[in-house]
Amino acid sequence: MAQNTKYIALIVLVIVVVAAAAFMFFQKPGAGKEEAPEKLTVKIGVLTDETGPTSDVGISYAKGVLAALKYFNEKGITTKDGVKVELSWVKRDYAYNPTKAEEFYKEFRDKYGVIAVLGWGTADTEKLSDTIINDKIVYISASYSAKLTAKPYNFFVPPDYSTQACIAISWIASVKPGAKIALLYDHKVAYSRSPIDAIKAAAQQLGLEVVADVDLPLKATEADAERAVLQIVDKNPDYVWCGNTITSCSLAAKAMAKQGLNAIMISNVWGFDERSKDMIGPEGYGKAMGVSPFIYPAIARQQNIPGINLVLEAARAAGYSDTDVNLRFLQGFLSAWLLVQAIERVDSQALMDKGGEALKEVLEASCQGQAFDFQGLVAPARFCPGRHIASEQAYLVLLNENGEFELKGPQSAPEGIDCAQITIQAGG
Amino acid sequence: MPAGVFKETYGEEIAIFRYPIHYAGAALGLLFALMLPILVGPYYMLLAVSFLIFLVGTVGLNITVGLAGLISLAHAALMGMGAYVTAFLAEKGVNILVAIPVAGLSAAALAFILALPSFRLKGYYLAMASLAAQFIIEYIFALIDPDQYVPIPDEAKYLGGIYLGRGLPLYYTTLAITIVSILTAVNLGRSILGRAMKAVRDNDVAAEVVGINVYYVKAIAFTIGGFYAGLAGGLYALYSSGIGWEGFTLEGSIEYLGMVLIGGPGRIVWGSFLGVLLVRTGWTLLESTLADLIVSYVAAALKYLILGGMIAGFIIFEPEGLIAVLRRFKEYLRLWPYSY
Amino acid sequence: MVEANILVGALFQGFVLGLIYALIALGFNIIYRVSKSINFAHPALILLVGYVALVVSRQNGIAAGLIISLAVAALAGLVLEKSLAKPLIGKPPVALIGATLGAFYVIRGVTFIVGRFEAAALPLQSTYYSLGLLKVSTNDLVSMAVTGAGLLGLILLHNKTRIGSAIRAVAEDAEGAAGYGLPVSRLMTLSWILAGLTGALGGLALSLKAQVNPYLDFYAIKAFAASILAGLDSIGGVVLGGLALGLVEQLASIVLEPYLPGIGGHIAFFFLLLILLVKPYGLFGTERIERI
Repeated sequence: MAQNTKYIALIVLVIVVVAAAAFMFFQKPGAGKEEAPEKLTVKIGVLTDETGPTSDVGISYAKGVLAALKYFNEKGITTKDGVKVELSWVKRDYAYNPTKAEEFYKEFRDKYGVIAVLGWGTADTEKLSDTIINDKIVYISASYSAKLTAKPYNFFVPPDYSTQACIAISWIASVKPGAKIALLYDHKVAYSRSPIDAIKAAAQQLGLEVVADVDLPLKATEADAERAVLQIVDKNPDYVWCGNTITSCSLAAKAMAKQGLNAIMISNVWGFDERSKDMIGPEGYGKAMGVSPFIYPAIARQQNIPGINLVLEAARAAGYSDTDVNLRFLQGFLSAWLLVQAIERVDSQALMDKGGEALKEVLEASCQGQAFDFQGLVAPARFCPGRHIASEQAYLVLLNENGEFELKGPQSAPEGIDCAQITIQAGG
Repeated sequence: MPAGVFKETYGEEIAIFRYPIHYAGAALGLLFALMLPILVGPYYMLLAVSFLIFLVGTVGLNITVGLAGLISLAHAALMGMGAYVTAFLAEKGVNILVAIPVAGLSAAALAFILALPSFRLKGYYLAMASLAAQFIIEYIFALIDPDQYVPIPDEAKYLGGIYLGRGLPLYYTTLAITIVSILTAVNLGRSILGRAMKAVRDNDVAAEVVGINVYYVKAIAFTIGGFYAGLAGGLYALYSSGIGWEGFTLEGSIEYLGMVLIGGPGRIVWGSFLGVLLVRTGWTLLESTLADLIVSYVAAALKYLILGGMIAGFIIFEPEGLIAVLRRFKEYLRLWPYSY
Repeated sequence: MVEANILVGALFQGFVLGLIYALIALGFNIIYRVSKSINFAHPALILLVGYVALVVSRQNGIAAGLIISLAVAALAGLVLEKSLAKPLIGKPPVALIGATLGAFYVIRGVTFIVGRFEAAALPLQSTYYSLGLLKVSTNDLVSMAVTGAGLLGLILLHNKTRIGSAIRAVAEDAEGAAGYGLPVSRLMTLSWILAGLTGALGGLALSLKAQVNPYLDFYAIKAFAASILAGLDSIGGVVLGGLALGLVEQLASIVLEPYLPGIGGHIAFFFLLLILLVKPYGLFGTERIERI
């Protein structure tokens, strides 16, 4: 007994000593301030989904991000005051698992000391949106959720999902006043649900009628798509909004053709891209379109948009072929480009002292000052404090009767209705 | 001097510390756990926190699956129950250290309900019932959490002015809760209840014949497993700034089952330890290592090939789990330089 | 009140999908019967089949895709048996469950190499036929043909041939079967190959109905639940279970949607739990399953 007590006393003593030592070790003040060197290194974390459920687009997006980082790095980046900046990045595939995203985010922060993260999906971005405020890390995501626009450290290049959806509604109102709209989306998934309240409000204001609101699972089969379409067929909608991702939306477009529903399906940005042509098939030609704040690379090449040459050059330099440069690649490229442009506007001393906060400040300085320009690939972006809605402009891309993509617009968001705000207020 | 260690009483035989190496191992292990933040730096410390959280959950499943032989595919849902209860209480202003045990209890209550099918079912059928339960609970989560994000208010994470949700306080809080739950689990395995569970696992008819209340034992095995899952969920809410239901899906349950089966079912502590280390933390470390070394798509495929290959390989060559390898090694050391 | 055309469409589509669920569920069932284990590699196999079919049929047409994916799946079944099931004979069933979980990861990795996890549709030209209220497409017909042939072939093999009765004997009592001189080891191998083949047919039909995407394995796990709905011990029971899953999913989505948003994909599991609680041996299963 006495011996046990001795053991326990010893163990307690060791615990106390070690814990105290650990605390002292961690309380050590950070390294002292350094003089402004000739070259600065900016560390960036890249969070991707290459093997998870969204990897069908995640891989291309990641390629775009990496190509841009590599390209601008080699080309040379300088801050506002002329100090050379070298980018150094760490890429992690989190397979769309939010717990793993968190682990990797902490790796970025604590092991590599990144000041900016190029992130991916809704789950991880929203989960980290409060943490990054404390850590002062700028987070540029591929999730364009309206809720993120109110967060101080979240940024993205295009308008948010709700504003994009409202742009589509306002386009419908301009081509067909009084049109009937049916909504198809997954009623359980936050990503699909997020723009719905804004759509309903905008439709009401613009004199359109929402005639149906039907559940279409994100992981849909033809059976689900057909059931959803059958439920809206007799409502005779002129337009169908599909708020899911590409598999689900292209199945819906196919089902519309099969059931003879003579309406046009409009998908959000993740529900429609170059692959839609094959995934929908000839029977849906002329009946499907997508909202896209970005000009599709193929169209940009036809129209000689200056920015696309830069993207192609970067892609080739990174060893990708021109066919790798699709919409998703472009989206990734632009996210990284926004970060590079922010670095080019920052003051080197501020960057060293404040890290991510300095980047946030220059990004938000665009509110009154000069917008971030992407050479015509997407509308110039301005971010205002508390309202990070880059622009209020998007295109609509129609898959026309010949199976070609046709650009409509650019269309602006409807006047006098704050679509992002509606979504923020609707969800907690 | 006897040539080996001989036990003279039954008490000595089932003691936690049976050999000198156990004292040494426990002391060194504890010391290592305590010093870990100094040894490895902040990132690996937080990775260790995530490891400990899943270790608590896996220990729970190991009681249900390993000790009592009841296959459950609803463990992630139970963990989610704990996380949501914690989030709910934290929102109401309850301190997280109070919320975490309550989370454990509520997940235990849910697990008790899930245990009902096990009164009539075994093996494949039970796996199926728990699979159904997982889907049903997932659906309920989706209904109560339509935004897929419930923030955990920081105000709930303070203890006497120290913020527990970050850095060293987070690590030591998690470590303390983990050690307490593991010690409890170890003692459970040695108790009458633990032996009754093993009896039910090995032959339920015989167990009933010798007077074990099989229904009671099964229900308790599920309930305790659920309690640990709930604790893990509560700890996860402490570790994370917010939770969403996509963290508690069937994939999570399958991963849990994998960690138990691979580490060694029935070896509650070390089996779970190795299972989590290999499957969960292993995946993260593999990604970190491979992504820096090789082209991205090769790394992406390779981590699945390595992980899966290791899992299958260990089970084939060591069906009792990784822990058997270590046990043989330990025996070898103990008997060294003699072979027996 | 549900209109007739919605009902007819949902019933038909539920039926087509039910056949797919049934065939995939049979893959689980076959392995359960001979190895007493849950084959967690089966969902990954479905994913692999989808991507093999996609890659091959883009180059050489859908028929080649079918043949190659059948071959790949049969090979995968063979490899799984030789490398996992055989060494683990006599070990507790959980060992094989764990090992197949490992195989799940490996096959996922292989699939990634094969198909890079893109999302695409199999290149099959769609034509639509109208039968009164019902609209039928080429996809529906092909997937019905594929799954129907698979189910029919399996039922015939199982009930009418000597091999089928030998496999049933092994499933019943492997040692007893060996005592009667049956080549138990070879029959087990054959069962795993058969499970692979059913997976290939089911996976191919699934790829038509849900397109090829990185989460095809999700449907296979759903199908797993179907294997018990009507009882494990007869092929007919599994088929009924699959059909019930497909139909309930569609009907519930229509009827219950206003009250419970997004219930469709989950409703079958409420039924499953209920059935297991009330009639643990399944709706039509015989009552002598292992239970206390």
